[in-house]
Amino acid sequence: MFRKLYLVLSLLVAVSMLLAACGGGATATTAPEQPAATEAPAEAPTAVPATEAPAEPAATLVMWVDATKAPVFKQVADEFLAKYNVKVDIQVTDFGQIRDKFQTAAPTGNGPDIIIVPHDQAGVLVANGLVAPLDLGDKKASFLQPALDAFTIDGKLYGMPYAVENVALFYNKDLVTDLPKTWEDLMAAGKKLQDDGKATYCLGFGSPDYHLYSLYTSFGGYIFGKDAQGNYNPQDVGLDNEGFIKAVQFLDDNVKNGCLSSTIDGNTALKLFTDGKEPFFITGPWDLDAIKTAKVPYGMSTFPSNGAPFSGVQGFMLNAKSQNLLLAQSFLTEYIATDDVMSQLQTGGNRPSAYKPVFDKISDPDLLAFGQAGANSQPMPAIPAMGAVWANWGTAITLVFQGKQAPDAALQDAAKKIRDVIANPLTGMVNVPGSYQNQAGCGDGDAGNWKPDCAATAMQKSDDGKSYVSGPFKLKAGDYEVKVALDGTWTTNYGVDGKAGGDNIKFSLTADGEVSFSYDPETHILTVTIK
Amino acid sequence: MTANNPVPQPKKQAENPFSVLLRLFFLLVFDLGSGWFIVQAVQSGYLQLAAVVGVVFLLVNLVLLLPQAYAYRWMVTGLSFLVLFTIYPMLFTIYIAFTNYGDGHLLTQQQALAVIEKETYLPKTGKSYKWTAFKAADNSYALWLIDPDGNTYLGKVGSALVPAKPGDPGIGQADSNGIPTSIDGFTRLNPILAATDKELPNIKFGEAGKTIQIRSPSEAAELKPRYAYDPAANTLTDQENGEVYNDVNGTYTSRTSGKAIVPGYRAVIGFQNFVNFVQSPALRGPLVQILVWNFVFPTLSVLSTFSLGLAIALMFNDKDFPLKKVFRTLLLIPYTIPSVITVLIWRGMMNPDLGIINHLTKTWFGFSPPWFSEPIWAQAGVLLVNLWLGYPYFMLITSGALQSIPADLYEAAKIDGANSWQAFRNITLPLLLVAVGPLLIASYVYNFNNFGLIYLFINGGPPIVGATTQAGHTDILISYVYNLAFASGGRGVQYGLASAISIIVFFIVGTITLVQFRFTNMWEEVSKNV
Repeated sequence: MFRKLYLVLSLLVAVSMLLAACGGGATATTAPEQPAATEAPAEAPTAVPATEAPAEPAATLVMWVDATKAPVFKQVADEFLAKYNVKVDIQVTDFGQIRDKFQTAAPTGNGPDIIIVPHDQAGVLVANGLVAPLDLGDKKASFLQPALDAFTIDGKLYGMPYAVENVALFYNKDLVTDLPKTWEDLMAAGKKLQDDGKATYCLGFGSPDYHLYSLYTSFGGYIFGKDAQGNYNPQDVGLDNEGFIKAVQFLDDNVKNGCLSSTIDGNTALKLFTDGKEPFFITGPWDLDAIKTAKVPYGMSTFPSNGAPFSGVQGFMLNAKSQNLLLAQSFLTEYIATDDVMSQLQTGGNRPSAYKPVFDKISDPDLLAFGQAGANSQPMPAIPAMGAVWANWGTAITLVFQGKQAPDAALQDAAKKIRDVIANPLTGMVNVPGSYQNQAGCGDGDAGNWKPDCAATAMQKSDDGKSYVSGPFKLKAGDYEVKVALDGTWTTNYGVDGKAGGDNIKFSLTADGEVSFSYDPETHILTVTIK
Repeated sequence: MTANNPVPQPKKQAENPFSVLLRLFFLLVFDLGSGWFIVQAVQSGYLQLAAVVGVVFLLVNLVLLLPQAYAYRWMVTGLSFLVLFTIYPMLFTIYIAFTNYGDGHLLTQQQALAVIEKETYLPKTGKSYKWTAFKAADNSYALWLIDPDGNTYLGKVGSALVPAKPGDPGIGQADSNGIPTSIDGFTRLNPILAATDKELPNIKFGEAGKTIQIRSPSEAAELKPRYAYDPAANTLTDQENGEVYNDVNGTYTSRTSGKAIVPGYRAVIGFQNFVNFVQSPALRGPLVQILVWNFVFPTLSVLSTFSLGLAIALMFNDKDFPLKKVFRTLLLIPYTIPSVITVLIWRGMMNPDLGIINHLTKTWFGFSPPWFSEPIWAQAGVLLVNLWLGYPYFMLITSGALQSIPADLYEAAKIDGANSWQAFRNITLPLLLVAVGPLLIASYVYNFNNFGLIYLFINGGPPIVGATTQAGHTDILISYVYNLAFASGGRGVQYGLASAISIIVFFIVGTITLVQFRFTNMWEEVSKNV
């Protein structure tokens, strides 16, 4: 008996290790044990009038920034404290970790008031309800519009941008004299150097997806199309369009003839470029310091064939649970959005400022070149499905380079997988949600009604294939209302007279009876038959 | 000599009063600490955690105060940790598996409602103003308001806005922005100074029904709360257009337009995560292929690490081996370096362009193994790195176990004319397996879920052609699931789904382990020999 117990116990321990690997993130959120921030902090600051006790700050703002920017903010914080007796607590956090840590801290009310994040993380933070919209007031006109757009979600501005980053085409001035006009020219120039033994590869890049996005766009490829308002439309995946396939074919041809490496990574490409063995190199501000130190004679250029790179915008966001929202906004608009601070952020960050007065005065040739290369850039999509896009895009290209799949087949596979993730699993379902559903097996009470995803009332194609039918359902006497909804959601729905988003369709039963429905997909009209 | 003669009782050792006091003191410290923790946890709404700590609290107190529980005193620390760090996380994981916890549903219902109720809107008839705050000695405020047409007003709490101009009685002259420099009885505040009062945005200026609140440093407006919550029906009503939002699995969704209010909240959704996993393309996908590799990988790993470890241990078991200690120490080094570092170093050494290993093979054999692109080479690479990481453990274990095999057995075998292979086959191996058998199984289970190695070395690659979901030739179940739930699944982080899948994986691992224990009868053998 004891042996069995021991067996179970050892199993428990084994599985707990396993669970720790997966559940780690989940349990971590319960760790900070602080009283809910609703009651306690309301009293403390008012009890200390700002005018009487200058030793005690009137309020404290907590800010999470990365190490490179911290000194700039510390200086501003000192000024702010001296002038307004408000302490700004600058806490240094690794830039890549800010979002994850914020997601853990913010729900408990312990998060910072202000964080800095790249814009492609903003969507998730908004969806999680952790950040507050902000109003830049008169200062709004001082920011680059694309940078503001990147932080605008559902028509509301959620961040104050400070920098824009994108990749540019670096070239070695010793090896390249004429800048190529097209990608074909670039590869040809590189191939010639390679044949002369002067170059290892024609072109270096970190990864064949993000870094080479400008090449795909030159050929007419795109990731997501845009809707009428200029927002990305996740339903329009362009990964397997003609241009994209051509671009991958072009890349593959150049891998096959040795011009490009299929296994290259950012570090390898950087080393080859700084060693003078790579005429062209596509990279961003993060490699600029290393290239400068290496003293390789480099130049920077826009992309051939008018290629458009991805752009990323970095900005400040406000904690929705902050007790100091008004103060934090004032601090950002009055103290951070100034020529002085913004230009210091630009110098330290190697990235062009998103603040117009600073951006317009850029004299540094490298920053200027990044700005020009990014003039036609497209903001990186911030929708959650990007996780699936990166993974499948990279996989497709790997498979093509390894010769396992043809470009069209690989990209079609990848696009299908991405569409599967984005599409909802109920695509194609036709349903009649309404107030009768709790009698048709969709649940009890009100919760069982008006469910467009309820399988029990889903319609089937009729025998002649021209309409959809459901029922008969046994219903009690009474008044009922229904609608037609497609794909298991309310996104597309039809009401009276087949009008999209129209009024509810009503019917009544004078006595208990059977009801069946028939829906015409051409006219969108629902016919209710009562027995 | 009657039957009354008492049996001598084992004399209970009288406890040193000092040690009793010390024990009570530590118990007091512990009780205070955990009591405080429980209060904090309850206040923050972490009831489950509070309950678990409560159980530990009771357990420790009972054991330390009841004389009958004396024997458990030495176990109580271990048991407490078991409850806190093993059983509680397991129960928590099981609970999470039945919720939609993850991106979009991170907050509790209370927290999400607090965020939603903060949303405001400007009614069509409402006006917005630029504001300047003035503060009186009694800490009350007055607002100087400028509407978009340039009209100016003075707003106070509880009374309608009064049209006012700089220079009016009691109001000072205008500065360059048209804002009076002073108002009698009030001090003008700079916007930042005004903002240091957290209460300012909550103050409602103007007459009831048309109150004005400060929304941002530049704007005060006749704002109204956008959503009204009905706790009885658990619905939200949009005050602007009357649209009703019903609670659907933790997201307030409109019946008529299908719009959802952000954020959703963490709700219990029953078996939905399990259903989602079963229905997802993941199962129709390359699951069988991944499962096969998931069995092959730990089997080969255990066999290879055990064989190499045993071979080295046998070598060192020879008394005449020179510099034994030096070599043994050197060979232990891989075990002492964190595997995270080792794996990354191997990754670098196997780089097809710059790696030292590929450089050497190219020079010697004219062939550069495609470690990261060919499935069979990738699998070989993973096994090779795991061999490097795992053999020192078995070398250590078997070295110890070899010492415990009595030398006279070998002597007897020698007399019977056995050669060294026969001695190894019939004496060393069987006796060794009895001792290290359970460890082999432990190693198997560990490698079954060796996420760190697979993820760091190659992240599951190279990709499987035509797979319906993101999957690679070296993916094991746990790394495949990680991708689905966190990375390339594409719906953000889904703790609920991840927990559900890890429960399913538990049953798989549990079954394997049980079968192996039964099959090998390992415990019976051990107990026979003890």
